[in-house]
Amino acid sequence: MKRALLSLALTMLAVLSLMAQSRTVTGRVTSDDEPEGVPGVNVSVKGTMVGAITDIDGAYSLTVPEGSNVLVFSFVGFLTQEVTVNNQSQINVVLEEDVRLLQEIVITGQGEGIEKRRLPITVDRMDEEDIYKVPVVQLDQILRSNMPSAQIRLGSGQPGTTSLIRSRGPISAAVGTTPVIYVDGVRVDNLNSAAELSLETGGAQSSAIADIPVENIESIEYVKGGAATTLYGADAANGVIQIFTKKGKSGQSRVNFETQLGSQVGTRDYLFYQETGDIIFRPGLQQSYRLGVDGGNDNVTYSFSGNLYGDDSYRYGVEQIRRNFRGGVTAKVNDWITYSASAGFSSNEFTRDYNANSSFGEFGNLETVARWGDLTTKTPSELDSISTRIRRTIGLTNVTERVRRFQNSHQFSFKFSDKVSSRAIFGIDSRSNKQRDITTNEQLIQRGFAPAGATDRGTIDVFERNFFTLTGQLDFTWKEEINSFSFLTIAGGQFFRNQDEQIQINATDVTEGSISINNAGEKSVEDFLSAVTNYGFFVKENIGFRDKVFLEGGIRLDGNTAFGSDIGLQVFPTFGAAYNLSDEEFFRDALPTNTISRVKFRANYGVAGNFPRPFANDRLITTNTFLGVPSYTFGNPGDPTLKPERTATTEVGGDIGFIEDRIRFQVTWYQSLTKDALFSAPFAPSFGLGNQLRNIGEIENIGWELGANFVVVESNDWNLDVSLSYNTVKNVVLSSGGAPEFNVGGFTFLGSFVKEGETLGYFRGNRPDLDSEGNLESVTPNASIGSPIAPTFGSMTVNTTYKRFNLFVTGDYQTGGQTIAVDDVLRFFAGASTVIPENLQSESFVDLAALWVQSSDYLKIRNIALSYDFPPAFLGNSMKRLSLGFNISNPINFFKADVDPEVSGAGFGTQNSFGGGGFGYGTESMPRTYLGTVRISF
Amino acid sequence: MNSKLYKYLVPVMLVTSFSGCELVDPTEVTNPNLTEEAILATSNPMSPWIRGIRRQLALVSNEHVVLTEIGSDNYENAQTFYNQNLDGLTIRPVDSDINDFQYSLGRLREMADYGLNTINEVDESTTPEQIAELHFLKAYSFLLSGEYFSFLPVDPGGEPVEWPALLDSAIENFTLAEGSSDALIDAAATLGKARANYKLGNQAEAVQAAEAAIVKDPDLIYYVEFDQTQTPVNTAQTAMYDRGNFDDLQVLPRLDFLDPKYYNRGPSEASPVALFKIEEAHLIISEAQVADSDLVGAGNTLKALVELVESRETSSFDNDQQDRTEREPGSRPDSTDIAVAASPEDPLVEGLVLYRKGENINVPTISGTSVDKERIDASLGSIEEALELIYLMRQEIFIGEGRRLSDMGVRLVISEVEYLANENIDEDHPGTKPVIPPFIDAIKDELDAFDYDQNAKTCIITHNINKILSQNSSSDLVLPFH
Repeated sequence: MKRALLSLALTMLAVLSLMAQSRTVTGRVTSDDEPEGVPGVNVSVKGTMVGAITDIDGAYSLTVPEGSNVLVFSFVGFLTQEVTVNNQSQINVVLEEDVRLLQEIVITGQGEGIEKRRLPITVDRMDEEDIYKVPVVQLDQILRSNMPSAQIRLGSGQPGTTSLIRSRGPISAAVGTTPVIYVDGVRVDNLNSAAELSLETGGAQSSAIADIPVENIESIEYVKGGAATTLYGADAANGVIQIFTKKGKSGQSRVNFETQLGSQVGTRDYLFYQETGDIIFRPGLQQSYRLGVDGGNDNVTYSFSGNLYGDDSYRYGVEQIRRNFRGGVTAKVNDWITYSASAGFSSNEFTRDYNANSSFGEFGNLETVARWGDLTTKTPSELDSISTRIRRTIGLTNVTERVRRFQNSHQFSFKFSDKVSSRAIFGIDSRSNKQRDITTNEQLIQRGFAPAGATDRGTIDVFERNFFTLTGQLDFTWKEEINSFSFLTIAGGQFFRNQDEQIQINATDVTEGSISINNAGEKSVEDFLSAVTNYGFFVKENIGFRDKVFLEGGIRLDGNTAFGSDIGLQVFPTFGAAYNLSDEEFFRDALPTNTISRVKFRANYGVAGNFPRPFANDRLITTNTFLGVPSYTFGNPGDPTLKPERTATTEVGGDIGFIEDRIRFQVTWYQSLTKDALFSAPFAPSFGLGNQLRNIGEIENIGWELGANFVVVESNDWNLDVSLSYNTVKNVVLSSGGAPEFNVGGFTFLGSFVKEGETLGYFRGNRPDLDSEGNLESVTPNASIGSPIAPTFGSMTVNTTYKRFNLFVTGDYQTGGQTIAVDDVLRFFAGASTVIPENLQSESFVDLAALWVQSSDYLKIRNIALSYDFPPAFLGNSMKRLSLGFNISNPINFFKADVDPEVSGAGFGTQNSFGGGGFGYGTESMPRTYLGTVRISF
Repeated sequence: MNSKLYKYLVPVMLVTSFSGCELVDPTEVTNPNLTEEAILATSNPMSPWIRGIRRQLALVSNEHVVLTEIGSDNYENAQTFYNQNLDGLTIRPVDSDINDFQYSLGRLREMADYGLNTINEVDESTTPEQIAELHFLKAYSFLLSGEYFSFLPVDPGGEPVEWPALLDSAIENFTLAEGSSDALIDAAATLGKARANYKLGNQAEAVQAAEAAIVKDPDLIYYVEFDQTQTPVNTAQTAMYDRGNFDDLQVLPRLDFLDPKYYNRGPSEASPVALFKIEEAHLIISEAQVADSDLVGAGNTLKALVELVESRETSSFDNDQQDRTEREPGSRPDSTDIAVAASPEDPLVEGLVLYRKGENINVPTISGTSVDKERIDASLGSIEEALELIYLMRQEIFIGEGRRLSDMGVRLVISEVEYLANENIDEDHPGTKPVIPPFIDAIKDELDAFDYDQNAKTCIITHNINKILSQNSSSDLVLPFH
């Protein structure tokens, strides 16, 4: 009987088991950080094609087919879990974070994403949460302080203007340090200096970086130049910034709305006269409204975000309006083809004032004493009178810019098998900007630049630039595993074409009141066209051994229409190795993760390039209109052997983590050597020829990049993360091929130059040699008196969460460099210098140049952002999320110079030229902004 | 077709589609600018090429005039971004303005040569007048080189040539330009020969050419033109007339009535700069007469010159923005009732300073002088006096034309860029050392100095450079006929 009962029970069990196999399983996936549910988790039935993705609440439901009994839960950044189903109909899973963050996937731009641990390089990455933690207006502001080994300095407080972006040292005297920028695999306009033609409004120049739509960004990767960017081709030596936009997640639709309101206030920290602030500054309203929608199902997901932004700035005569939107979609065409696309549009309007190197710049006129004298000696009524005149002048100033920009990207992904996949990407960036400066007779008379009653001095200057870039790429990825070896092979081709058309119109003798050049007595027109096509083929092999040791090698061949006619395809090789020591069993056995949790060594070598300015290889005759008819002169001398400069970078480093990665350090040493550097050095004057870009230079950068991250507190209620970085760079021009030095910014008497044995863009000027009593004894002409490149810089972030409060603080610093207090040079002209001692006041300012070179050290807190997330219980069913935030931008500045060491009124270079910055000259700093934010998700 | 086949077909299609790039031809880039080849293939490249050289002449003037006017006693650079070194006669090879001056001269010469050699070969419609003008402009490059430098290369990267040889080359090319059916070029070339021979001390040749020039055109004036709308504008006009916040070139008080020679002529007209004017022929002849001790003859020549100068046009314009100076308003003479003395030993003279804050001022824009016939008669007592008078007239007549510094015997240097990029010159070459006559060098910091008593309304200039020049007439460096 016993035996019969046992048989029955077994039979019943078998039946039950059989019934269970065909059962639908549901459940929720959560994590410590997202107890309300983790969306987007891949849940699959092991050994089958059956799978599902968790919805917004982390919920899933799937049917487990016969013969299967194990569910696999996987999601990037978490350990994959396998759960036996047995007779369960509901399986809830709590995902555990993968402490080996080295497994983070990065998209290095070529082929599919790759685990970071396989890479012999470092990639700085910001995800959505980091990006939108602080108010977002333009890309360089997002990157500032958030990329540990990159330095971003904003050139002025005027909206939409240039910045200096660099990681490591400047590797070229022919181009700026701005990296190449991709949005969803498509190159975008990254002109971050004055255009070839442009309006002369002093120093602040329109920047194409400033109006890249910053909507809907999922992540940003910054790949530092040199070794890591070989496969990006002939102009990637400055590094690559990749922006990936959101394409939505499947599940119930989400609607996000964000509104920000606040005020901008002029930063008075750097003012010479507080009265300048009283006259020029006034608080302005800043407002931003952002609407986002995303959602989708297993086959199609979508994401959209639109933003209306406006501010009245912090001073008279300056304001901006931005209208941005971006949408993204991913669709499964079938089970092996996926299509994703994104499109962004921005329409920006900027109103600016003259500044820096312009006698119309009223900010500078006040600060430099040039026009209004010593403000501290003025009576209140005199100040009132000056204030009235200046505000009226600014009111008559009419400098505007309108930018319209459209970008899109299309990507087809083909998954031919588990091992072979492919991507085809193409897309465009089309940017058009129009600047206009209307100078009326009334304005000139008000400024004192035209006699009363003048009627023939009115001018209208118009500048238009249309930039179009087209990118196409096709690559294949092949993953293979053979015994202990894993192979990741990427091969493909890419081309891009940049077309840059500019036109400038100067109309004179304009009838008063006209805003059209039609009503002008005389018009002159100038245009500029640059077009370049680059095409390259690349192959990269990443070989893993026991999933711990990785060797990588790659090569890219590039052709480019800017190369000389004698130059064929250029070869850019790279190779490297990575070793994840902490994954070794012997290591793990000896040192558990609560001691040393991670050790990785990496080394890499790679060559990247910068191609020469288009058409610089051609010998030209230039036509100028002279006295109403065309005239000829010698143009570009030409060089049929012109080729790209090549930067070979060697980097060696390691990553180490302690106590389950609560303390992490990242150390990298690099040396980059640019050979065939493109120098626009002069010929001897007896040649009578203009400068020609020639491959004659050699530039070296050596430095350390140290990053540290400390999880100081980690508990349910309270978390505190601190990140610090410290970077060094030693830059030197090793050789100029015997050519004389040449100017790359600033002024003739005190400029930024390129010379053998000096730092790129070093400051050159006369140095007064003083006797013991401080009197001028002699002068060393053209001495090396400083460098705009700070040899040490870094950033810091503090991120702390207490229950539902979050406080996020970012800052950065630099030391060891110099800046020029140009404002004081102008004060010297007016007899009001505070830098030049009394006994030297009668000397020529040219011979005193070195005295205006000051330390550019600074420590700036960029953002303090406090936010509060309301608990779900408070929100009810209709609302998913409600958060309130308060942010202060640019609250605290420590610095040594008499000017803001970050701004530069001159020295940002022009298109296709190097600019080191460092000329503090009649330029307002970024304002202090106080903002309140409300974010709602439905 | 099954999906497996698709999977194999797609990558093949993708790869082959690369060849379709030809349809959009992404490598097709057209340089919008004109290559040398394209220009030479046009029907008549010589005409625009010559206009280009005339434009280059304007650029030469812009490098030459302001730099050398600041270096002379004519103008003081009271805190501007124009050259600061030359004001105290600090002449260094590293001075970028000196380099730019050389570059503009080298380019003028090379452009002329290119016209004579390359374009002339391909352009069959080239006229003799065009060839003459090319020689004339090339000669002017040599002339300025020889007047202002001890040595300069005459070929790209070539060996430096000493100034007498540079002036000989100028004479050679002026001679080739003479006889042009363009009467202006013909007469100016002859005057150019007179000027080069004068600087060389070739008295007879200089006088002969000067006299020939007067015969050819008794009112000769050859201008370099500027383009107010399309550039180049006249830098001297900007420096002397236009005012930014710190553009403050200040004239020597005894020359105040001659300043500014250039002024705003409206949105489409720039003030031109005279390169050659017949006044120079009279000055050369009179100086030769003094050298021959013919003081009476010199007096008559100068009186004829005064008549010529008086016949030259003057211009009336608003100069209210001139502050004398902006940094310290009222620190320089700025009114008609102020008397100026050329030195503490010279008499106070009224009428040399203009009041600019009221009505329009009236300024000679070709030639002007404070010297009248009585003054000439009173200055013929000695050779020294006569030479001082002639150099005063040279100074006044040529003000703003970049001539004075050469008259003071100063020579600039081969620039650092030239000797670094030219293997035929090293840093120690004598051409890299400035030439400053010792009697000028001794007072180089005081060339523009004066003592102005605002209450007494008197202004005493520290040094009378014309007197110093005449007293040192035997020096090899100045007054070439003596």
